[in-house]
Amino acid sequence: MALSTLVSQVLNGIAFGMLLFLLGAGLSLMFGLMGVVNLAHGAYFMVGGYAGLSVLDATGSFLLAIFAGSAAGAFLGFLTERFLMRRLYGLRGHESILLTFALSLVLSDLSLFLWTGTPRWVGPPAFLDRSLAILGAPYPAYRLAIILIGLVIFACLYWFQERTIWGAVVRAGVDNKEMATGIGINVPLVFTMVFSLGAFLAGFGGFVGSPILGLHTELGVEIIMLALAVVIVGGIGSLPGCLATCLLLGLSDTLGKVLWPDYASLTIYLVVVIVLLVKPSGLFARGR
Amino acid sequence: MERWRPISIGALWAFCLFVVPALPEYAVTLATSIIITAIYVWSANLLTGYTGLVSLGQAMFWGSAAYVVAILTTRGIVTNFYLAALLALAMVLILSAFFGALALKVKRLYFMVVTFAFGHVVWCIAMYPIQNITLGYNGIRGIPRPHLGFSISTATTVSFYYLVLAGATVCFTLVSFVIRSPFGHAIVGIRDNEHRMTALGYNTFLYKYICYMLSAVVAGAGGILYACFNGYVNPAELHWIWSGDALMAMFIGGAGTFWGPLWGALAYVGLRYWISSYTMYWFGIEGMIFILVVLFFRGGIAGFTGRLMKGGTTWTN
Amino acid sequence: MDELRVENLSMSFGALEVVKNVSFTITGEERRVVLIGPNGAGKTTLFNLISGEFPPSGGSIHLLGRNITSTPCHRRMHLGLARTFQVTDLFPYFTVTENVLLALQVHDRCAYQMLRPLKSYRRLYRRAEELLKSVRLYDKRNDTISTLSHGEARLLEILLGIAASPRILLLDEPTAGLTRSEATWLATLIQELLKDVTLLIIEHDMNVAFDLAERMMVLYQGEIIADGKPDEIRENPRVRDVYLGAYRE
Repeated sequence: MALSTLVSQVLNGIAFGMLLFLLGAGLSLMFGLMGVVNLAHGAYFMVGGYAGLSVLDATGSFLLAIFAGSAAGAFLGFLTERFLMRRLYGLRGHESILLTFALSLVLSDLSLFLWTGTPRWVGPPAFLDRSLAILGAPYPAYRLAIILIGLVIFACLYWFQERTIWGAVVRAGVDNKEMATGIGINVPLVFTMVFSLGAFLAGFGGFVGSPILGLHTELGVEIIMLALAVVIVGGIGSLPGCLATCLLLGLSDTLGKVLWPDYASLTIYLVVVIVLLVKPSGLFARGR
Repeated sequence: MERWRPISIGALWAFCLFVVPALPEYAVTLATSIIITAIYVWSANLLTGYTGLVSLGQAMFWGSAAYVVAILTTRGIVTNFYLAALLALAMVLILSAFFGALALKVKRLYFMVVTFAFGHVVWCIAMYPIQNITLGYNGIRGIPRPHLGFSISTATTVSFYYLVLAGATVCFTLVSFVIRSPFGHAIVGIRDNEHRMTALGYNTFLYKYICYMLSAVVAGAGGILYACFNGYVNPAELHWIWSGDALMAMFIGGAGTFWGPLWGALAYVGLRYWISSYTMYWFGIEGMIFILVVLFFRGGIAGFTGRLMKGGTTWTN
Repeated sequence: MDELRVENLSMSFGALEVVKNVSFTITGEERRVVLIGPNGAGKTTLFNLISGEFPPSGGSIHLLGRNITSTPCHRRMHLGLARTFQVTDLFPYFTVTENVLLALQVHDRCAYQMLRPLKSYRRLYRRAEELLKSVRLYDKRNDTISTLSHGEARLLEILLGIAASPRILLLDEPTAGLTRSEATWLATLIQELLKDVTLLIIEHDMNVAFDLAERMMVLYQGEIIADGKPDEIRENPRVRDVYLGAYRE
């Protein structure tokens, strides 16, 4: 393979990894904080994408569409937490998993109903709809923008987590829920906010990712397992670890598809299995 | 409640044996489908309901068994149904022995994801790399109805129904023995307090491992019957959504209960049949029903009827 | 042969040393050894090491002459060891009898029996009934755990340890959460029921501790600072310092 091809595939992998990060960060936080595996997280991603698409079709504004997609995601997250998950805290964990699984089925069919089954492609905004030369070969500027956006989001989340009171509150909740409640932190409110934030990122990712991944009604179901792979492989408790894992998995998936097309999605799951057997708590797990 | 059980089982069996075959053909077909699904849901009930291991990989065993039967019979490699079924179950046993040993090293959520990953790997393999054998996306058609020897063919709806009823009777009897045995008592103990079980001296890994393989074999049995019933198998039988369906049906029926899987299969097949004739959004509706059951009908249908009769043993929270 | 021998046992969680170089021997003739010490001294961790919850950072454990330092927890329970927990840890959806049966069947040939119903093993049920009668829980044998009082639950917890007919039983704060009279009754019960079992008991209730003990060990910050007869311990100035007068004659 030519070097320029390799480089562009690597960049593709990194861009994909950034999209995974938008999903994985929220999922990881939800699991770490609430012990909840939200299988509907992928559906937030998809619905965010579709909502943004509708707004884009209606208004032509990419920026507005981004807001719409993120808001849709956040709204779904809020609804999920407030009306479904809250009823289940303290009960067996796997019921919440199945509940969110059922929710993802509902959202998939809802999307099918609202937006039909035809796959849609979203065009990048005009100013990014061009190629830059990387090592002599053209490379889509939009994907570079995604990588940049991903890094910015990571930096914001990191700053939020490490340097703000809210971040400390969330970290306290992750570490020890009872103590956090004991010192006056409104844990249910924190849960709702975390859920909504995670879903916000998912919706955001769904729309900004749509020029790369496209939009179809199976997307939610397909992408959730990748996001779960991120949580499992990376472990919880470390945001940089999450990013690193996403990049690792993004690269494995992209390069895997290029090198062994017959084995398509297999590579990621093989990585998951290997990591699980070697270091079950995850590569970058912290605490516990 | 327990005293009524032999009577209700007997009544149900009599109903299945004498009344159902006299019904119109579409009803017999539906009943066949329900019974085969109930076998599958029982496999999930054994592993998840009774042992507490949430696996998103049951479809792997159902589908593998179905595919083995399909491949062997459609290519004329094996014409004897019993041999094909035996080989399918052997395949399932090997798969579960291998995957179970690995998956059981991790707990809870991680176990769920590993079982999902393994199941997905098997699905991917069936879809692409060994396409020439499994015919990938298209699936395998033309699976013949089993010939049982002594000139007994199961080509008709009713004769095949009897075969399924026989198979299900064997499965359900086996499973109910296990549930009431010391082994069954232990696996529920493991579900409720694994830490204490270990401190009492139980090798919990071994119990879970045996249970995993047993539930895989039950799922495989369902898959074998399904392949012959449908005449056609495709990768959907290996897909994780089908694994998820097993769990949802189990919950709707009542997890960890004796009647749960039957109720769950009844609800799942019945609703799917009925709703699919009106709309294509079956999955979404299935999801909504499940959500409603979990939120408002704890314990599923079996829990509900148990409360009606005051005193049924259910896996309530 | 020594029942239990612990040599240079240490346990660290990261930088925190919870158990430091603990060594002691309990012989088969000894009956009631009580381990006391202030909170955080490492008593439960020591029990966890002996019962096999996690491996030690250093040192070795020998049970009936056999090195069990790397033996998995569940195997140790078949070598004559049993243990109860400070926080009652029962099976919430089972009845009292079913809880006891679980403790019994693991040591029986039928532990892996998958076809014969549990109800057909009358010998297990008889033994369970015997055990329940001995602690006056027989009347509650078909009740679920949630209906038991704290004291009754504690009794059942200890019964699960006794059911295994161990040679040596580790009792972690058996009287935790009990009223004074309940605690005294339990202490008497322990003395009667477990006449032939070697007991290593963690106790916080000093009355019970001094009442029961034939030998006492004092653990402070992970180390054994005193080991001897109760009277000696009572007079030991270091122990008095450590407890800052928590026990008054």
